[in-house]
Amino acid sequence: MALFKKHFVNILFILSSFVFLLQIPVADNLPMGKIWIISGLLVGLHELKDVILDYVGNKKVAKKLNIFAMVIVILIIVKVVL
Amino acid sequence: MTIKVKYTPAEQHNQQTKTDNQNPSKTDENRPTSPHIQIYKWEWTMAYSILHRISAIGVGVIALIFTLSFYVVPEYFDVIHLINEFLIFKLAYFIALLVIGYYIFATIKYMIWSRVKGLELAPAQKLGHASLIATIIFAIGVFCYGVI
Repeated sequence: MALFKKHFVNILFILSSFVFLLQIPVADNLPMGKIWIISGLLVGLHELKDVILDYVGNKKVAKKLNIFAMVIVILIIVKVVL
Repeated sequence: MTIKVKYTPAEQHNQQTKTDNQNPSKTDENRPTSPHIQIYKWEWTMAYSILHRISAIGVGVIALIFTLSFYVVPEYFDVIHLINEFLIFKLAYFIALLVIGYYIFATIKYMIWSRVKGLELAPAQKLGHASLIATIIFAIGVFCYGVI
């Protein structure tokens, strides 16, 4: 259960990927598409946060960059959901 | 009467780290910057770790491009048509499958490691090789299913 909680977004992304990638050529709409896009964006954001914290020396600048990236991703997610 | 306890620098550092770890935002501030990569000897596990990081960011970029593509090409079937008709889009699709596939199998590898299994050097390398081979098979399989 702890593993599931820790890797929730990753598990969601993996499961939705298998369904979504197999749906692409045959489905006339993509029911799994929104979940795949949202989980993919969250995966990318999480890794981007780690990269920025690891490689940007000034931690205040790193924090600002992270907040900027987070705001953009949240806006895209809101747009995708709506 | 107060008793003053003298700490060694190492003990002071440990106490500071213990306090900082209780506050997540403080942990981010004290996180050390990664040293330059060239000071390390290249290892398979290191290469796979870097690839995992690149693939995770790649997944985010692919999701972003996929979202934005619907503003450029509003009809869903036009996107499929583009992939089927033009070689450059086929290539981009295959690279995207490689990135997504590597992220999937490397994450499964990390989940195995989270269960404290396969952490020694030899099994860790074997898991890395296995995830790479699985990625190639996955990408070719899904590509053939979708395009050919």
